Amino acid sequence: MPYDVLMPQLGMAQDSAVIVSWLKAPGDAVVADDPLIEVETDKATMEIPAGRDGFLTQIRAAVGVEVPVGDVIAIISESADDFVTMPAAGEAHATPAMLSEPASNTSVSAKTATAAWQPPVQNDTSTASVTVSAKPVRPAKKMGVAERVLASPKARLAVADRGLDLNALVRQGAEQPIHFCDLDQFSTSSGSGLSVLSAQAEGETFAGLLTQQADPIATRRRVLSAFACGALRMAAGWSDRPIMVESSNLGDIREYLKNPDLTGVSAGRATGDVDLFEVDLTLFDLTETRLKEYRPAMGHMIQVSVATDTHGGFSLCLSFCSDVLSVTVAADFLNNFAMRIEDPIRHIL
Amino acid sequence: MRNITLSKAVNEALAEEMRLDSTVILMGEDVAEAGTPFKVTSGLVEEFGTTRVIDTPISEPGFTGLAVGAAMTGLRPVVDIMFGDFLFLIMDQLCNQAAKTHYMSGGKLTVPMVVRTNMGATRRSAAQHSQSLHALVAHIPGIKVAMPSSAYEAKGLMKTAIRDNNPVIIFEDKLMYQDKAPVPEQEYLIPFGAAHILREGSDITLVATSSMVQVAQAAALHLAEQGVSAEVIDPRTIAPLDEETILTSVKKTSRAIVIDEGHQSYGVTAEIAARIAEKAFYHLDAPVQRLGAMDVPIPFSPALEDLTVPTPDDVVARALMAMRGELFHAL
Amino acid sequence: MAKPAQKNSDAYLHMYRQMVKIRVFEDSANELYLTAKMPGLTHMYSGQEAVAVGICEALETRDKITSTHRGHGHCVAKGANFKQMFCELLGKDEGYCHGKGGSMHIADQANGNLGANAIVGGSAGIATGAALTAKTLGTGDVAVCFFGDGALGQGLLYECMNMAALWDLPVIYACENNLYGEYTHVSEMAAGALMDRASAFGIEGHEVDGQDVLAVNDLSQQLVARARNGEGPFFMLLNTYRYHGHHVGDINRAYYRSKEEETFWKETRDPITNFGDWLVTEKLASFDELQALHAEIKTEAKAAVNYALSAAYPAVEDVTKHVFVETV
Repeated sequence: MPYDVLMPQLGMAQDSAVIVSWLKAPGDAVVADDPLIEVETDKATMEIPAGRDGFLTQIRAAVGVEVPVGDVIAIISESADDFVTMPAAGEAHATPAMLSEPASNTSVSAKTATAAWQPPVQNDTSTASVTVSAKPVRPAKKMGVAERVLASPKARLAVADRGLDLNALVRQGAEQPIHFCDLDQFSTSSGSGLSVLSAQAEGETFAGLLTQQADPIATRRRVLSAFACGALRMAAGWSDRPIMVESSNLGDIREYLKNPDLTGVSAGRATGDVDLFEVDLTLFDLTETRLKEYRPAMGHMIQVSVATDTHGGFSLCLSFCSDVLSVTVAADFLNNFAMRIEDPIRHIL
Repeated sequence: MRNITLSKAVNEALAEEMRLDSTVILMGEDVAEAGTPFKVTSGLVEEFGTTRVIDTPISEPGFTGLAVGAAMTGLRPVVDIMFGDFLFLIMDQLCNQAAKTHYMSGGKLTVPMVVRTNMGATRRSAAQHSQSLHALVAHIPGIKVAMPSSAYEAKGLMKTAIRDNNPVIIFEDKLMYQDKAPVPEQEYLIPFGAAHILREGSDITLVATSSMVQVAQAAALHLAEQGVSAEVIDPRTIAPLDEETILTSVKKTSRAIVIDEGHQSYGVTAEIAARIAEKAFYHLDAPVQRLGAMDVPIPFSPALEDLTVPTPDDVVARALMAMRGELFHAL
Repeated sequence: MAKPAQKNSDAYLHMYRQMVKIRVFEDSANELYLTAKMPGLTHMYSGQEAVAVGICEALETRDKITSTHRGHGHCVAKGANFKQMFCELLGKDEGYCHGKGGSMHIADQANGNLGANAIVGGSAGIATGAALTAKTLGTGDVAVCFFGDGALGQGLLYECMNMAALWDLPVIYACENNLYGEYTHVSEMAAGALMDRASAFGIEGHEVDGQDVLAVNDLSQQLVARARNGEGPFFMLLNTYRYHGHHVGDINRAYYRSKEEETFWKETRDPITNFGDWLVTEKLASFDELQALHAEIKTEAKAAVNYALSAAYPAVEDVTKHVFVETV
C-alpha cells in the first residue's frame, strides 16, 4: 500500500515549513531512516527521514514551496512501478490545502491567532458561545471631563430613578462629587432646577384660520412648532443655525421638524430617523386636552407646552436651563411666540 | 465558656482529628518533642507517637512532596511550614503538584492534605520571617485558603481543613498565638466559604482577614463614637470566597474598605475590592478602598516596621473620608 | 542476556509483549504527532522498554509508581490499555484523565500509576510519600520512582532520598540514564559518579543494563521483595538509550549526538530484538510466533488510534469540573 509522507510538525508553534531540497529523486529506493527531504522552519533547516522503506514514487511539493503541517508532500510505494512524474514547478502546490492562504512569515502567538491544530466542531458548543445582543449600542453623548458632573454610582442611579437632573443639582449648589445623601437635600427643596416662564395668548384669529384646513389638529401642532422655532431663532439670534423641533402631544404623536419656520408646515419625521441629541426645542401640544401645562423635571433642551383655555386662548409654559438660555432670551422667546399665535397671518406670510 | 489561646485551639483541633481518624499525620520541622517554635503542637507526639507526629529534616520541598504522595495514597497529612515565608520553597509541590493533581487526573486522584503555616509582621523578624503570602496561593486554582481570625476560628477551620478532600492551606497570624478567645468544649466545625459578620452596621462595610479583623473591630468602635455605623465581615476563607455576604453588605452600606496584611498590590484587598466594584457598582457611594501591607519588604527596625501594616487609625481615617465624600484621589 | 531466574514461558512472553506494546504505542503516537493529528507534543520512550517492563513486571497492581514526562512506557508497563491512553493523548473525554492531563500527565490510579509529571524530578516526593503511606498504614505496598538522569540535578530528589533513608521507606528510586537530559549529555550535567548519590545517603544502589529486560527484572524482583520486607529504600541505575529526540519534534540531533551512536544502540542493543532472539534460541517462542505477536499488537494499536480519533472531546462544561473534589 502506498504511504503518504506528510509535512511533519517540527516545533511546538509551527504550522508550516518550506521545502529546501529533495534528497531523493522519484523512483529512488528509500529506507525509513534515510533523510528524504530538507525543510526549513522559522527556526532551522532540518532533514526529515522517509519514515518507510520503499520507493519514492511521487513528489507532491516543489522546492521553495511553503507546505502546511499534515499535507502530503510525497508518496512512498512498495514498487518503483508506481512512479509518477513530478508536476511542473508551477503546479507543485496545486493540492487544495496548498492553495489556501500562504502562511504568514510573522510568528503569531496561539492566544491571538487560530492555532494550527483545531478540534473538530462539537455537536453542541452553545454553552461556550457568546451571545451577542442584536440591540445596537447607542453612543453616549460625548462630554468633556469639565462638563461631566461628578457623582457616585449610587447617586447617579438614584438621580435617574427619580427623574432628576445632576446638572440641576449642581446649579442648586450641590457640591461635587455628589453623593446619595445630597439628593434629599436638594431635589425636594426646589424641584428640578429648571426655570419656568408662562404666558397667555389670544386664540381667535388662529382658530379661524384652522377651520379652513383639512386636518386642523395636525396643522395647528405644526404651525405652533413653526412659530416656536421662529420665535426662538429671533430671540436667540440663531439666524444661521439649524433648529430641530420635537413636537409631541404626550401621547401617541411625536414628530421631528427641522427648521419648520423656514420650510413650511409639512409633516415631520418619525422618531427613528432622528438623533435625539440634535433636538433643540421640544413643544408639548396639549391643545386637544384639558391639561394646562407641563414642566419636565429634567432636560437640557428648551421645552415649551401649549394648552388652550376655556375661552379659546392659549397658555404657554416654558421650562429651560439657565445655562442653555438666559432669562432675557427666554422671556423674549416666549413673548414672541405668544405674539405670533395672536397674529398668525403676519408670520405665516 | 472557657478562654483558650489560638495556639491551644489549633493543638486541640489537631489532637481531636488525629483521635478520630488514624490516617491523619502531622509532619514538619520540630513538630514532635519541640512542639514547633510557637509550641502549637506540644504534647501531640506523646499521645500519637513518632509514626504520626514526624520530625522532618529541614527540607520543606521534600516533606511537602512526601505529603502530596501520602495524601494521594491514603493518608491525610498536616504539613507544618514553620514560617509562611518558606512558602516560596514549596511552591512547586504545592502549586504544580498538590493543586493540579485532581484536575490533571480528571478527578481520579485526590490530595487531602493541609499545610499549616503563619503570617504577620510586627514581630521584629525582618523581611524573611514576616511576610503574609496567602494571596500567592489563593491565585492558584485547586487550593483552599483559610485565614482564622481568633482561637475559635482557628480550631473550627483547622478541623474542617483536615476533613476536606482537597489541599488546604491555613495561615495563622503568628502574633495571635497567645491571644485568648472563648472556645466551646464541645466539638464544632466552621464551614469554608461562609463569611462571618462580626458586627452589623449600616454606613460602611469593613472586610478584614486574620488579625486585621481585630483592627477592623477596633476601628468600628471608634467610628461608632463618631456616629458612623460600620459592618465588620471576616471572610474566613479567601478561597473559596463568600462573595454573596460581602456584596449584600456593601449594597446595604454603599461603602467598603478591605483590610488584609498581604502586600497591597495584586493582593487579596485588590481582589475583593474588584469584585465589589464589578458586582455592586451601582450601589457604591464612595470608592472602594484597599488597606494592605505597604509594598516594601518588611523592615526590621520597629520604627519602620510598624508603618507597614494597617492600623485601626488608618481604617477610621479612611472610613471618615468615605463618609464625608472626601476621597478626591478618585476624581 | 542475563541468566534468568526460573520462570515459565508465559511470563517471558508477557514481558516481550509488554515491550512490543510500548514500542508500537510510541510509533503510533509519533505518527499522530508528525501528522498533526495530536495536539501539543510528546516524549518517546522507544529504546527504554526493558526498564519499564523489567521493573513493572516485578510489581503487583497495588504497588505504586510515579512516572515522568517520558511516561507512556511506564503507563503501558503498569497495565494501562491503548484505547484510554490514545484518547488521553488526543484530549478526548474517554482518556484516562478525561483529556485534562494529556501525554505528560497520564495517571492510571486503578493500576497504581500515580501519574506522569511534567516537572523534572517533580514526582520524587509523591513516590516517597506513597512509600510513607505504605509504611504508616502497613499496607506492604512498594513505590517505584522513575526518573531520568536529568532529575539528578534537582534538589528535591535528594531531600526525598534523605528522608526515605532516615525512615526506611519501601521506595525504589529507578534512575533511567538514557545519557541525555533534554539536549545535553549527562556528563555535562552530573558531576561525580552517579551511584555515589545513593551511597551518600546510605541507600543500597545497583547498576544494571537497562537494555536487558531479564537483568532488570531479576534485580527488581529482589529489590521489590526486600522493600516489601522493610529493607528499603533502594536505588537502581539503569543504563539505557532513547531512540528519538527529547521530544517528537527534536529531529535534527547531530549537534548533541551522532547518527552512528544512535545506530549502534538501535542495531546492537535493542531490548526487544535481543530478547526476541533469546526467546527463539531458548525455544520459548518461534520467530513466527513473535512476528504474529507484533502484527496483533499493531492491529490493536491501529484500532485504538482510530477509536480515539473519532471519540468525543470532553463537554465544554467540564472545563470547571475537578478543580476541587466536589464531595467532602
